[in-house]
Amino acid sequence: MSIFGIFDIGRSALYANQLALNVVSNNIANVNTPGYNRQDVVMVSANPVQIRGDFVGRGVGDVDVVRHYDNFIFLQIIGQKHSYGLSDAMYDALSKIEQIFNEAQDLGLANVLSEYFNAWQDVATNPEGEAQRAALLEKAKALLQTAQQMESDIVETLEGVNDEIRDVITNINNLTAQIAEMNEKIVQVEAGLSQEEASYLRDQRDQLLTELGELVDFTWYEDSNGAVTILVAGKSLVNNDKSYNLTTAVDLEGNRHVYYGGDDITDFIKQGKLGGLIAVRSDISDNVLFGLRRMIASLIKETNIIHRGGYGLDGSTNNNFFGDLQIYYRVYSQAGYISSATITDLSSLTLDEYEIRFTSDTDYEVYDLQTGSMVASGTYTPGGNISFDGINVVIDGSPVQGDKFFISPLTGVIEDASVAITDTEKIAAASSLSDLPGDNTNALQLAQLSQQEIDALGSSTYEDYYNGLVSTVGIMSGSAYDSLIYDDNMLNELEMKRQEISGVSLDEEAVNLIMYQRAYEAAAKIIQVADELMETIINL
Amino acid sequence: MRVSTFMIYNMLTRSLNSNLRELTKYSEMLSTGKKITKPSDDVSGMSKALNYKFNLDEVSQYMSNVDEATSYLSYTDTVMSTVADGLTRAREIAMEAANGTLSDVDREILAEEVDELVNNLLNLSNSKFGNRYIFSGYKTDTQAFDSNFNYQGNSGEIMVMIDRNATIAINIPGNEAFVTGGKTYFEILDDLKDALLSNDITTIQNSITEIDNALTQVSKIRADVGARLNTLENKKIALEDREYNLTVWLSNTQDADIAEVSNEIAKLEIALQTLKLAGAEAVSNTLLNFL
Repeated sequence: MSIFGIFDIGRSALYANQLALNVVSNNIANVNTPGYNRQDVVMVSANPVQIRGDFVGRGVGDVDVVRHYDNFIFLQIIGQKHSYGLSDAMYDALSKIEQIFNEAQDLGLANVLSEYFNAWQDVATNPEGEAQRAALLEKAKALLQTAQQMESDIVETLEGVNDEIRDVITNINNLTAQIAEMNEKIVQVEAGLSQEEASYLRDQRDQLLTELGELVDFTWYEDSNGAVTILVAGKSLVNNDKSYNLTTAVDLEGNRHVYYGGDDITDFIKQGKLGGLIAVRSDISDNVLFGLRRMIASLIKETNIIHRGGYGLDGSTNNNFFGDLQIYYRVYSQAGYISSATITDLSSLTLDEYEIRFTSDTDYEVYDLQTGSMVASGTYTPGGNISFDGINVVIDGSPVQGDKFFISPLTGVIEDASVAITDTEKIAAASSLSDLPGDNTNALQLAQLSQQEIDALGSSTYEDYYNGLVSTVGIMSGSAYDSLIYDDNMLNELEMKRQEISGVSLDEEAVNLIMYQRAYEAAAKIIQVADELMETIINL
Repeated sequence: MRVSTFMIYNMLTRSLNSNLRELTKYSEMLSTGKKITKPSDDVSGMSKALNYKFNLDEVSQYMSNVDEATSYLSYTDTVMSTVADGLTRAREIAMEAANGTLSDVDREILAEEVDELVNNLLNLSNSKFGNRYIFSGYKTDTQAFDSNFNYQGNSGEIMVMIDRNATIAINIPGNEAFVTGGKTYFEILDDLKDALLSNDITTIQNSITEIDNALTQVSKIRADVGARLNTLENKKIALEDREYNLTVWLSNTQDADIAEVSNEIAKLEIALQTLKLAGAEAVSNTLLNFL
């Protein structure tokens, strides 16, 4: 082996250690880069040569840059992100709802509700008193105004949720587009290479996948070329270098739906922020909003029934205390329409919601959406009456099979609620015209409504029902918070596991820096020694 | 276990955060004075507290009803006591005249006094509490008796709620309070007056019996009113008791124990201090310092 062999060894050492210094520097530079996986050099000694029976090394051969990466942990992180996104979105909305029902700070309906019933007792104690009557009207208005404020806050929260669904979908589309782009690059870079991966591109794509994972739950796999395919609700959002957008539209109820192509996939999205927003939206409207509306509707119904039976100081009777309940509807039909929807018998009103479904172009069935049972059915005649449970609906036009008509006494009940009585004389404290003005039995009955167990409220009193509503809100918000904390901790655990393998340690890199620097210096020394040897030979 | 630089920072940030979160929670308790600051803090506690509050509102309404009823009935009692005085005086007059020894002039003077008593009684029967005639049954805007001694009210009893399932009548209809044996007290005294003027000894003697009956009736009414006032007083004590208990329960359920909270805050502050010291040490000490 010649002296030139020493030059070669020195050169390979300089090259390998300089590369290692590059990698170390890059690690240090990326110590705070999210999703960065630390890299390392793996050096392999070159094949030796046999000189006089002995094997002598020829320096550093292959130098590989490898990425410290655990695919299993990464999969777990994405899975945990799905559930973190879900809890995060749910807690965010529910904590706002909880604030609306925060009876701990005397926000909410409890105070005005008991003041309203107490005002009836004051009228009962002083049926002739103008002051007590005027106070009652004020308390009734305060009750409705509070309910209206609460409802509008809830509706506002729901609108916020719907807006967020739109924004999340925009983000998802951006991310899938970027992932498709990364796919293209990774496939190009890695084509023909057997071992080395496009580390930095993969780091970036992993980061995008992690972000996407928080927004929506998806299934995914990587093909042999290095491209990932992403499926949401079984529909492919990313396929090689192509991405496909989700779209969104608002339904009659104001709820935003998620579409892929022409398919509504809203109900199939179960996790991630999007899944959380969809779930929390129905939690809030089905439990909280529905409950509050039903309670107010029931109070209006029961109060009016009793009030109509009594007499005002002026001898008038059959007056509503609160503005009459109305029927609200939504039409899911092209050619059919509702020409009237009215309450025919207040006392038969269940305060449930209904759906009139056309089973053919000529036959309809009416379902109570709360009990699920069919309450009426018949053959359709345009302009004919469809009557059930104290409600009469007239459908006109040409509905066809599959058309639906949603009928509810609740939808606008709080928004439209009013105190119908303006003249205190018309407050019906008396049960009998001949016993005016001292007869207070009707007022007593209205005051005692507060203790009555109401059928429409699951046989509970107004106060108990409201208390239940507050508990429901507290439980929903509390469990969302617990999940959020759990998911956050789990995510942190996983991130720490990832860090154990892939995170940069400055101490470690400092050691490496010195180590490779020293090796580099020694390699330089090799060159110098070889040079001196050469000089010695030349000067012989 | 390999420890990356991020792990050290992350651990520190998370510990600081969780400490500060706890500290905020207790500070909120301290500033609101409540250990439940939102329903999810303690759902069953919140539900209990809400129940206590509803009950407290209810109890305080019953208490105000009891006060109102007490004033009404006390006033009725005062009126009836004056009625008894009037009747007693009339009885004395009848007794004085019953032996027939009085002169015409004396009897005329007594008749005049009786006439005055009739007017007084009539006025008393038309007593008003606030703007309500108390002896007219439900007809509270109408005088109980007109000048011809006809009852214009009805027998309506005004009931007031003094508890969830308890009501009490706050009025006595005039046809009970001022009538005995089908005759109003005014008619009895009016007959006495006429008898005094005509020196009709038999009628005078009869009227003594009738006045006795009237006095008995007034006593019965007053006993009834007294019994109701007694019920009200007992009810008031019971309600006050309940109000006290509910207030205590409510406080136990929702109010923060300030001493305990302050103690927690002090502990957390020490932990936070220590954490900051240790953190500063961990973050600033790297190998690079020694190279």
